[in-house]
Amino acid sequence: MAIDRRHFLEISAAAITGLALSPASESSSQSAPASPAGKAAASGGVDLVALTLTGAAAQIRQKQLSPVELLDASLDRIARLDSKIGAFITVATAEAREAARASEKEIAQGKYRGPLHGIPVCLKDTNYTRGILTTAATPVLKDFVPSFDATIVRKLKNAGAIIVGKARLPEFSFGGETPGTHNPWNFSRSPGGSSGGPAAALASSMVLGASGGDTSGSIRNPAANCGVVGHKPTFGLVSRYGVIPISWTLDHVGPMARTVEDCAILLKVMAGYDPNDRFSARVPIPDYPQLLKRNVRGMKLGIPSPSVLEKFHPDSKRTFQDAVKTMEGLGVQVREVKMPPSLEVASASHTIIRIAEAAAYHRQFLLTRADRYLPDDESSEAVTRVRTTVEAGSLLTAAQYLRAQQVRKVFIQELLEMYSPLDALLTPSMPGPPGEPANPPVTFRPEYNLCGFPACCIPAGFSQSPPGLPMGVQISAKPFDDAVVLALAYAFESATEWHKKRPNL
Amino acid sequence: MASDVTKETIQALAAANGLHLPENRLDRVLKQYQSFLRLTDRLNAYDLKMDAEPSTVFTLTAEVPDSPSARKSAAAPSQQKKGGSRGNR
Repeated sequence: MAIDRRHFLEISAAAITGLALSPASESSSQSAPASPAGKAAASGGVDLVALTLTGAAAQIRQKQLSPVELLDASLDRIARLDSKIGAFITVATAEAREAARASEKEIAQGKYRGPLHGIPVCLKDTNYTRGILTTAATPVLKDFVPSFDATIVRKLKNAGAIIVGKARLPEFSFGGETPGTHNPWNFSRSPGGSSGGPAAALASSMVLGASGGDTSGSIRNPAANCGVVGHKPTFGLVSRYGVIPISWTLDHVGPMARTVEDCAILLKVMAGYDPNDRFSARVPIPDYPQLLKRNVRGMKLGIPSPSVLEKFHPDSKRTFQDAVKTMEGLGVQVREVKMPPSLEVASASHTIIRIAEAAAYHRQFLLTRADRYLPDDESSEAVTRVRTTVEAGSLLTAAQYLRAQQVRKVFIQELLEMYSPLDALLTPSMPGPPGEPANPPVTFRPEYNLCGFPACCIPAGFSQSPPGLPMGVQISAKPFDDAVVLALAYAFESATEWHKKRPNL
Repeated sequence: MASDVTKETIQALAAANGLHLPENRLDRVLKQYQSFLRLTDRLNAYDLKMDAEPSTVFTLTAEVPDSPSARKSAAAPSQQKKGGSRGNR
């Protein structure tokens, strides 16, 4: 709920004159609470569960909401909930408070920077943050404090976003689970991964926006599992400079939020050419939020044939079929398309490229501090930790890597042909509800890292068996058609209520 | 073939690559390596043209046709620049 304007102006005046606005108990970067902090005091009536980034931005711009109050609400929620959810590795309390006070002062002086000004966000803990611990959840980097900000962090800060903390991930982003983080919809379930911390923080209304990383589906998987929106941009659209990599030619960085519009606002800030990223694309950046509301009637939407989805969980298939009906109701022209022949080996190509490139990055760590990686899980043959994976990846030959890259090129060409008559493709987000077994040969996740096309996962329902777990669908399109993806996602979201659901915490 | 690879193979490959793998790690690394080889076997079996070039330097933007939809989506009138490249090389 908004505070009144007089209150904000009083706060603003205090900020300008340098008066203390917040409790003096703030400290420098600190680890997330390890034990229940108890229910925090209400923060000026700010209801983060009901707010979206877009809504908060409107209130801040109109000086109806103070960035300091908003941050207090975020920190209170983290203090109250994160001992149960485990979304954060580091909460940057002192830095966030300082940034929020500065934002408040600027806004009071009429220097409003835009819709991220004063908005609390979290970053996946692979993003370099100057002066703040950046661990990638690995003991290998447990003391690493970068001396500069990643490009994406610099852009967010320049837009006025308040960096609340660094969110959890599996070691070095390897894997589709996030150990230590629980799904806010059901604590016994995984939030997915690797951007599981950002997704859980969003779903539990601790922050209003987040950055994620996606090498094999790591933005989209946790977004789907936690019932939030995750957009993997076109390869090259968002700089990866200063982001701890897995694989240079598969890694993507992108926005996560609770609504499509919030994601579009974040993407507009994150996107743009960066000479420090060798693969950064020199393309015009559209006004993604402005383009959301275009008419989607008549757009051509491809869908895979039922046989491609045969091994998907019944809840994934039902959610997908319901989404198709919603799209048809919006006037979108839906038609089945034939998948390209190379799709059957796309996942294999992706895995070989990913691990060969990861092995090259990890070589120095293997030579100098191999014993610091997390140990293998001896209780499970199925669990392979990063060290083992990159050691084995180091043994692949250049010819094997190049064979995978040959297949990749064929795959991209075939996919471009498939998308040629389409505006977008609709698929399920995940093969099944979080934690439920389903292993189809094609999942529509790593394939989009291999091709680099944009793909956005949006909430589209809840599972029936087991009940109550978030389900989603994915919309993808041709390279640099991110605005088309987001427009279709926005139209779908506007026709449904799934994005308004919140876990009962 | 993946099943033909032994712990000795792993040790030899690692040594050739300048890596030392302790004895107690060989079983796990072998299993992981075999799983990768099953994937490379699939890739080797895939029917590729002899002259298929790899995307060794992944330039997605260079491979994308200048499609009307791509132009439409990127069309922010106030921001569009004339003569801009569609991507780096």
